[in-house]
Amino acid sequence: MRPSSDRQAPGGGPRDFAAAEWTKLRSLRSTWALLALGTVLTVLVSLLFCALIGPEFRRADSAQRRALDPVGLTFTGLQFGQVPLVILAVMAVGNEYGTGMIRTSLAAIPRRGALLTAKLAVLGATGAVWGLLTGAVALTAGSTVLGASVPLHTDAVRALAGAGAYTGLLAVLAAALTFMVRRSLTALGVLLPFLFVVSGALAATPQLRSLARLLPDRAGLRLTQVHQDAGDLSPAAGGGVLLLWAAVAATGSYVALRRQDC
Amino acid sequence: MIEVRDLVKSYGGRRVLDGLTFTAEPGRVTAFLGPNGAGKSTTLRMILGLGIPDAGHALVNGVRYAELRDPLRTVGALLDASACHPARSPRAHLTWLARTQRIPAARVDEVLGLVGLAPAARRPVRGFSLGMRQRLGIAVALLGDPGTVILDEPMNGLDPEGIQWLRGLLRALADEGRTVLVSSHLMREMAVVADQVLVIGRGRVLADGGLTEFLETDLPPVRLVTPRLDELSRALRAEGARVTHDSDPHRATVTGLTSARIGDIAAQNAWSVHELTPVRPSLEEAYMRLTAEAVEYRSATAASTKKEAASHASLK
Repeated sequence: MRPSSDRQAPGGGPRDFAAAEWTKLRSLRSTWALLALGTVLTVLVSLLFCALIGPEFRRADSAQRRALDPVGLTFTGLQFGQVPLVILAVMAVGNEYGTGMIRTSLAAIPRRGALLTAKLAVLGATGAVWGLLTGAVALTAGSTVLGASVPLHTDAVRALAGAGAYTGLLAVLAAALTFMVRRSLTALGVLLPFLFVVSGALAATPQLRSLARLLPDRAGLRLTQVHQDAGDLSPAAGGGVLLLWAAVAATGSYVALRRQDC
Repeated sequence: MIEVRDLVKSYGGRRVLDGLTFTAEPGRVTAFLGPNGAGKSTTLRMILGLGIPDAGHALVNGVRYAELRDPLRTVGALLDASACHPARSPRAHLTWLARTQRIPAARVDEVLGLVGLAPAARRPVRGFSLGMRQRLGIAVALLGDPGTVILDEPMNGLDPEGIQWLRGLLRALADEGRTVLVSSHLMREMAVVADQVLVIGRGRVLADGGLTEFLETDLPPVRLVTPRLDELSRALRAEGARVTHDSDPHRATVTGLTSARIGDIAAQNAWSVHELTPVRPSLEEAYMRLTAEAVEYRSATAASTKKEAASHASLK
């Protein structure tokens, strides 16, 4: 056991940091419990909506069917199923501060941008993969209940990819915000009302609808939809708006983390 | 090697570190002592790059911590024993840390064995005693086989067997040529294991030097046994000494004179002396005296405070 020099050691890089963050995440049972809960919620709520709309959809002609957005309908459950994912992303960061583990993390990865990147990348990837898998189940099961054809057309594939992008960016946004406020409860206190109350209230107020569509969840969920009403953002524009939210949050968290005394 | 130079840090207008300067050398156990709030933990956090100093710098092996290529292979630190997610097992905790610097997975099991946590390696940390958490923290510090080891209060919560084990570990680490910086409030334990003593108070160095020098800083009290105690006491007091009698009519403790001087005075008067022993103060006593003075300074005026603190910094 000779003291090793700092020069001869093989250097850890971004991939090692990401692998370490993934090890952190997967070694907690709560991670898997939250992801499973999110999947169950998403699929159940999607099925419920599809079952309710089913009779109307089956009576409708093809133009009316398009307006009902059979693909988008199957992803409705994400609005509920996203909550456990947001909680997961918030806790993954908030617990670092809550337990003081942030110091150990920064001792291992002193370049704060590198730690932040690894954390956000792993949570984003986790969110995206979860969104794809959950979305695939919801799309298939939902379409069956709805009585629509097996969704193998490009719109459905695009919307499914959109679901993955949405959940991935949402996880990044939630994690980045938590780096700024340093507390899980504060972050959830901002995010959950935003996702459930503010977003719904704004959308229900006609004068504010144009504002509501720029909220991260409203804009992002456009990625999972096919039909476009007048005044709706296009799926690409919606995704762009969410991307902007996530980018602003990530930048803010970088600035905050660089200045933090831990 | 750790070098701290003129480190200054304030939190909310309170100066926690006030121009702290010291060096912790390889091959030695440096005891980092000071009352609560003296700035010990802040200093350690600055060394690890966890806070940004207002002025000055802290270097490990000549570079700032943030510039170390694989920090865990250079510096191992225990700052807070509870800094682990309660639902995570020691094995998972060490595994993610190892992953950051490509430390082989076998090393995780090695350090778990080293600190005696192998049987509990897969249990959630939630149910651990403070002693077990300390062992995990020590395992974290040793994971990268670092040349510099920094431990903040590692003995808290350890049982006597654990403290003895840790003492041996610290000695072995230093003997292998590593730099070992350990903060503690357990003076008796530190006196056994430390080579260097670094005492800080109010963000400044109060004393910095070898353990033996530290204990010999002042004139040690001398235990005196003589059948002519009354006469000798009078003569010693005339020389400016303080003589404290105890229950035995022939025995007293003399402070303010060396044992040689006391012996000479007795010899000049042809008084026989049966015992004349300098009593080396314990580390605890020396520390208490030093920091008690630091506390007294607190109520002094600002100008004299600086002077006094400066004169104490030169004690080494």
